[in-house]
Amino acid sequence: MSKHEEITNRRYPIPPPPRRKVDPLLMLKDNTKITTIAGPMVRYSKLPFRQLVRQYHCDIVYTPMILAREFVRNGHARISDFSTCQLDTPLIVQVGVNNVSDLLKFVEMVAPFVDAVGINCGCPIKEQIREGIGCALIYNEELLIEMVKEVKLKWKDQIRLETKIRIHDDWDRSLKLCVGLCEVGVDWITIHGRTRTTRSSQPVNLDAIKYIIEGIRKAGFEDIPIVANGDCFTMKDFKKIAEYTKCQGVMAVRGLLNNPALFSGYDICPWSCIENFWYWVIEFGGIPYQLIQHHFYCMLENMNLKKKLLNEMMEIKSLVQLMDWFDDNFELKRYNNIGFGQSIEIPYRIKD
Amino acid sequence: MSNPTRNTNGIKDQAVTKPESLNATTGEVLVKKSTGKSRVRKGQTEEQYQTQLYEYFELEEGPIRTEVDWMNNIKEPDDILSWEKFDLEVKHARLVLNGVCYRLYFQRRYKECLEFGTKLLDLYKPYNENHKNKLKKEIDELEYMQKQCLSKDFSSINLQK
Repeated sequence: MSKHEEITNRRYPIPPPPRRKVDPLLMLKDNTKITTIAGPMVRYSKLPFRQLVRQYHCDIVYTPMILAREFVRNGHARISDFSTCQLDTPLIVQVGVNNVSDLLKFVEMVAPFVDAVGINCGCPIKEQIREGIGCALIYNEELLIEMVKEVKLKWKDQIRLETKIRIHDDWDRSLKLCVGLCEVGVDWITIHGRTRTTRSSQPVNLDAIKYIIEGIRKAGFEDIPIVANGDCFTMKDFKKIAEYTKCQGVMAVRGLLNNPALFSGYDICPWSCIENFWYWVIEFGGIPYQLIQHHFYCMLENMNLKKKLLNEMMEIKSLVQLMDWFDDNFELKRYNNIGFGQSIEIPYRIKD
Repeated sequence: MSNPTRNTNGIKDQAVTKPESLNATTGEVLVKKSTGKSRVRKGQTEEQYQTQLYEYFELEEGPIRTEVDWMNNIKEPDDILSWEKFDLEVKHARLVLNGVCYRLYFQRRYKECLEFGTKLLDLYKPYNENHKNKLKKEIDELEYMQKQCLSKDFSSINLQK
C-alpha cells in the first residue's frame, strides 16, 4: 500500500476538495504575456502585503514558507502562519518540508483554501538546510522527486504543484533534477539563478536559467512553464530576464518588498503604496508591529525619504505612535478620502 | 544518518546533511544538529493526524479568514475570544483584539476606540497581575492610545462608510 493510499484510508472528517478559484497554470501558459509573480518572503508575504502587490499588476502571489511539520501538528502554528480572505487569489502556499508524509497531509489541509502549493527547495538558511528543508532538497533529488510524484499521484490535476529551486554549481545537475520533476508531473518550476552559497549581492546567473530552460525543452517538456527568479527590481529588469531566458513568468521578491508597484511600471515606490498598505494592515489586523514597520522602512527608503525621518521612524516602538508619526509628517489619506491611494510623490506636511 | 555530501566548494561548514527517514508513514526523521548530534523529529500517528483534521476542519473551520470590514462585527472582545484556540494566553489573539482598537484609532473614531480600549484593559489588567506582567507592553500601548483619544476632538469626522 502506498503512503497516499494509507492516508486516504482514514476515518473522519473528510477534508473538502482543493478549491482553485483561478488556475495559475493557465496564467503561466498564456502565451500573450509573461506572468508577474510575487515570490515568498520569510515573514513578509502576509495577507496585507499580498493584497497590496495585487493592486499593482502582480498576477500570482505566494505566502511565506510554512513548515509542514508544524502546520499539520499544531493549531497555534496554523493560526499564526496562515490567514486568508476571499480576495486572496490567485494564491500559492509555499511549504517547507522534508518528508512525503508531512507533505501529503499539508496539501490535504491547505488545498481547499489556495490555488496551488509550492515546495521550497531554495531557502539557503542553514538551520533549515540541516533539517533537510529548503535548498537541501536540491541535493536530495530522489526525495524531492518522490514528494512531487506522491502528491500528483493522489490529486492529479486537482492540485497544482510547483517547485522553486536554486541552481547547482553543476548546471547539468539542476537540469537533470528539473527533467526528473517534469517526468513525475510537476506543474511548473521556478528557478532562482543563484546557488546555495551565492550571496544576494552577487548578480543572478541568467545564463544558468537559460541553459536549464533550453535543456528542459530539448528533453521534450515543451509545455511546462518555467519561472525565472532573481534581481528583478524594475520593469526593465523584468523584460530583460524574460527575453534572455525565454521563461514564462518572472518572480520578484526583494524588488517588490522595496517597491510593491514594480510590476505597474514604477521604478520608485509611489506614495499610494503607503496609503494602500496602511489600509490593508488595518483592515485585516493581526500583523506584528515590527513586520509592519519593516515594510514601511523598505518602501520609504526606496522613495528616498529624508534620512532623518527614516531614522526617526525606526525609533518608534508601537503601531499607534507610528500612526501619529505619519499624520504629523505627511498628509496620509484614509480610505474614502478624496485622492486616497493615488499620490506618487511624498506629501510632506509643512510644519511651522 | 547518511553522510554529508562532500561537495562543499572548499567553503567551511557548507556540507548538506540529508535527513534519514525512520518511519515513512508517520514522517519520523533523523536530522543532524549543528553540534553534530543527531535528533529525532517525531512522527505523527494516523490518530494524531485525525485529531488535527477534526480540529482544523470542524472546530477552526479552516484558516482564519479576515474579510475587508470584518471588524465591523466586533462589538465585544468576546466576539474574538470565542474563536477556537483564542484566549488571552495566545499572543496572536491579543494582537487581533488590539487590532480592533488600532482600526478605530486609525479611522479617527476616537470615542469608540476609547470604549473598546477600556474593555480590553478590563480584561488585560487582571490577567497581567496573575502572569508576571506579561501584558505590560500591550497595556502601556492601550493606555497611550486612550490618552491620545482623550486629547482628540471627538467630533472629528468619522471616515468610515
